[in-house]
This record gives sequence, C-alpha cells and structure tokens, in this order.
Amino acid sequence: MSIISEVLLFLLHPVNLLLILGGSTLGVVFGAIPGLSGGLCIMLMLPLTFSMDVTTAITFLMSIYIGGISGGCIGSILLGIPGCESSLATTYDGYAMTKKGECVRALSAAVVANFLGTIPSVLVASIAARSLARMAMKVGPWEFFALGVCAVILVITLSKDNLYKGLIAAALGILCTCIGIAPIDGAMRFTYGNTYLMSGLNLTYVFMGIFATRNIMVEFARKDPSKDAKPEAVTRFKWPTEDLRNNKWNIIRSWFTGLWIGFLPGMGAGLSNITAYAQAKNASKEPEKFGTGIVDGVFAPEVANNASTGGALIPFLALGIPGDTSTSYLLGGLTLHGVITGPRLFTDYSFLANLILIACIIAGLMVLCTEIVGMPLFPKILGVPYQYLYSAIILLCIIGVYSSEKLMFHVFMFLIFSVVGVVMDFGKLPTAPFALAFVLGKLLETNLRRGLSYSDTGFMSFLTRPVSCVLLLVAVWSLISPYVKLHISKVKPTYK
Amino acid sequence: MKKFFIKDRIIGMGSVLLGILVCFLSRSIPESTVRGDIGSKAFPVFAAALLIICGGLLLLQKSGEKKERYLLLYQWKRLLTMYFSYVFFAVALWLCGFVISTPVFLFWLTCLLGKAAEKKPDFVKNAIFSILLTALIFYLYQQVLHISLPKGIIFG
Repeated sequence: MSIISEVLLFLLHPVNLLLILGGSTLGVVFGAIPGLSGGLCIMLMLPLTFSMDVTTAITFLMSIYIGGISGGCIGSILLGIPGCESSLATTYDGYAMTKKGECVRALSAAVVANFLGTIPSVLVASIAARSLARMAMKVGPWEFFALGVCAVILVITLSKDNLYKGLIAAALGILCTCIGIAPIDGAMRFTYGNTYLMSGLNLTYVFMGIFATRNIMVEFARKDPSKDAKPEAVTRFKWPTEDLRNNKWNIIRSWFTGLWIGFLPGMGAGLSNITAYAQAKNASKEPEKFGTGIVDGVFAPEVANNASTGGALIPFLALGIPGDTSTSYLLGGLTLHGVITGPRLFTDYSFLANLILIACIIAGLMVLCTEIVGMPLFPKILGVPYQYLYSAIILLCIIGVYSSEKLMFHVFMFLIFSVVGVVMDFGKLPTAPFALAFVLGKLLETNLRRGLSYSDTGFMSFLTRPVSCVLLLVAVWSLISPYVKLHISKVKPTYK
Repeated sequence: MKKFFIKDRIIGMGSVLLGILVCFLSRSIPESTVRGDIGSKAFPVFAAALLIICGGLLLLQKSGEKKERYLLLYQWKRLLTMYFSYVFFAVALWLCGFVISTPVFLFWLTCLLGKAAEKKPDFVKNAIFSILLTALIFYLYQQVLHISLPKGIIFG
C-alpha cells in the first residue's frame, strides 16, 4: 500500500500531472493524424527523456502510449482515414456516421469507448502482471528462451503477405543484435575495431531509421494532394447515454477480445479492433447495418483497441516481452534508461512498475477530459499544415538520434537504417517481427547459451522441461499450421 | 510459364547474399571457452541460415500476383530528394553545427514538402517557421533538458 501511495504522491505532483497531460495530448495528436502514430511519438520523444530521471521519463512515455491509441479514432471518424492501424475498423462506421451528419455522436461514443477500454484493462493488468511475474520468477533460462521464441514466431505468423518475409524480417532483427560484444563470453562480433559499435546497435537510430523516417519519406514520395480530405466542423461532446445502454454487451465482449489479443505477444490493437468489429457484426441482430454508419461499429473497435493496452502491459511488465510494437519502443526506452526488464521488475523496481500502471490510469482519465473539452478542436488537429508538421518531425528525428549519445556517428547510422527501412518497405517485409526480434534478440541468445551451459543434456534440456517444451511446440505449430491446414484442404476429397 | 514476383526475387536474392556474407564474416568470431556453450558464432550463423533458406524459398516461390510498382519515377525522385536532404543536413550538422545548418535545412524542407502538397511556397512564412523552430529546439535541448547540440567541427 505504501508503494502505491508513494507513486500517487509522485504522480499527483503538479509538474508530473502537467507532464501526463502534455504526453497524453501529444499522443492524441499523433494518433489522430493519418501517417503518424503514438508509437512514432514515443520514438521521437524518447531522446528527449534521456536527461530526465527514469520515473519522469517513463511517466511521460506511458502518457503518450495511452493518448496515441485513443487519438486514432479522430482521423477515422472525421476523414475516413485511420489515424493509426489500431483504428482501422472504426473507419467503416465512424466515417459513414460523419457522412450522415452524426460525427459528434460517433466521436462522443469513441471518446467514451476509449476510456471504458483503457481503465479496466490497466486494472486487470496490475493484478495479472504481478501474478505472472511471480510465476515467471520460478522459471529458468530454458523457459525464457522458449517464451521469446514463441513471441517472435507468433508475430511472424501474422505476416499475412508471406511467412518467409516474416522470417527474413526476424532474421534481420536478430542479426542486428549480433553486432557488438556477445553475451556470456564477451566475444567481439562484426565491430571491426569501431568503438561505437562495441555496445551494439543503438535502438534509437535503428528504430528511427527503419520506422519513423521510412514512413515519412515514403509518405512524402506518394503524396497526392488531390486525396487530401478536409474534416467536418465538430460541435461539443454529448454523453452517449442511450448508445451506451444499447451497446453494453457489445462493449463487454469487445473489451475481453481486446484484452486477450493485447496479451498475446505482438498482436496488439491493430488486430483487436478488426476482430472485435467482426464479432460485433456477427453477434448483431442487424448485421446488414454495419458499414452504413451505426454506433455499434464505433464502440466495438474503440473499446477493443484500448483494452489491448492493458493486455499488452501484462507480458511487458511481467516478462519483459512487448505485447505490441509501441510497447517494444517502451521496452527499448526502459532499457536505454538502464532498467533491467523481466519478472524481477516488480521486486527490483517496484516503484517503477507501479508507476507505469498508475500513470496509465491517470493518463486514461486525462485523455477522457482532454477529448471531451477539446472535441471542437479535432478538425484543427487534422488541418495542421503538412509542410510544417513533417519538417518538425524530421528535425526531431535527426536531433533525437544525435542526442541519444551526442554522437554524429549515430546520425550517419540513422541514414543507413533509413535506407534499410525503405528496402524493407519495398520488399513488404513486415516491421513487427523485426522490432520484436531486435528487442528480444539479446535476451534470446543469453538464455539459450545459459540454458546450454547449465545443463548436461544440451539442446534436449529445452524439451525435457515441460513449460519450455510446450512453448516451443506452440511456436512450431503456429509456424507449420497454415501449411498443414492447406495440405489437409487439398487432400480432402470433395463430394459433388 | 511460372510467374515470379519481381520484388520477391530481389528480396530473396538480397537475403541469400546477405546470409552468405554473414556466414563468411562469422568465421573470424572466436570459439567460446565456456563449458557447454555454443559460442558467439552460433546466433549470427543461425540468422544467416534463416536468411539463406527463406530467401531461397522466396526466390523459388511461384506468385500469381500482378507486378505492381513500388513507386513511380517521379515518386522515386521525390524519395531520393528527401533522402539526400537528410544526408546534406547530417554533413552540415557535422561541419557547421546545429545553429547554422538547421534553419537552412528547415527552410528547404518546408518548401520541398509544401511543393508536394501543391501549396504555393510562402517564403516569408517558411523562413519565420524555420528560425522559430530552430530557436525553440535549441532552447528546449540546451536550456531545459541540458542536452548539447552539435557545434560543428569548423566552429566547435
């Protein structure tokens, strides 16, 4: 109890409240503008936090995370273009409602749905993460390696376009972690005498190059002014009492869906909003009305994508495994601030672990207030001149990369990784497996090598331990199941 | 006749070549002396093997999809212009430092981005924005966050 009151005292300090307000508002703005996202905002702001102490930094970054997911609905509803992939399904009915002149109703529903999705899911995360961390304390490197492999493979299987491409992206991520001093024996790998490479590739320039500038450069190259939509004017927020009453089961179902999908490694809000929308449509008595502009189609994705934030926090806090791409940036941020993530977070960094959870709850409340008060300003967010907004982002990217270690070498590495990002985009190599493999690569290698050194049975030790064996089997099955199913469907005789 | 998806072939070929290169370079990594340890060579070799296998499979994979262009010629030009703007800015930062190179870079960037958005370039507005943003970032980093910005090798 004393830790919680200490955390509350810290967070309720006016300066920290302002920081949460600023972070969540910034997150909403980045989440709202198509092409940008909360994840990008976390990346841009990460270097700014290097001069802050870790508690202040993580408070700020968590606020951006919560705001980023919530803001995505604004672009979806007002422009018909999702602010970020977590609000893709909101576009179907949200924009249709705008065209029917019901944009205030859609936005009000989305704002309340954001809140209803976030707060309970973070409360669940605060209980579940603690229990999971306690269990994880009892496991060894074998289980951690298997869990990491399982997480990466699950993300690879999401590569709808091509499984091989997912594997290539993951291999590239692993390869990037192989540069520098190796764990266990401290051997030097691929540094060729360069002292800047000894500590490995820095997360800031790798992520900024591959994710941030790649998006900006390609967006600029493809810019078509004729497709620029102008948002409708918006009046004040209206509490959706009637809509809430009619959608209570839809909200509960979508919340559980979002929480579960968020919990699975790598499958965050991007997937949960579409799944929840499909479930809402299937469960509806009037499925034909979906897509024509009904509020049910706004509640389902918005509750689900926000519930995913709590779900993603569970493996993030308990195991040090990111639940989605944004949490992988957050995990990187924690590592850069010298925090050792994993199951010991709740014991070694008890204040910080509780701070993350409570900051999310306060940020969720702040986002609700900001969105209620600021709703008439939503069209203005979307109307920020492109040339000024993107210029500022590009500058923040480059200066952020420099300031992470105050080295020009990082800026030049960033230029190299921008090219890698474009090549990955060209080949449609998915970014999520790369991000997860890059964040987890060192952990995978360390635990694999520790597991082998600690046992006399070599690789068999990973199969003789039940938890690690089950996790590895799940990973292998996830990888081969699409091919098995395809083979079965081909072999199955068809009766006419 | 088999249809091959050209982009996949390029990525497949690139992966195979990168995998072979990594395998070759991994030879110089020393063996581990820790008992039972697979050594520091194993992980890069594993990643390289994955690249070679998946790249090879991607090369051989049959695709019924139509060839689609990643970017049109004018879009490639835009992409390269933007990229080389970054490169010039990085070099200018290294040589002249933040205070001199940033307003120039920002002015160029606002005009470039404005052109893509088919906005009539407002040079005065762009110049004011460039100077103000430079001053704001300088103040934020140097005074508030106490993070030093590049001074440049000429003036530093």
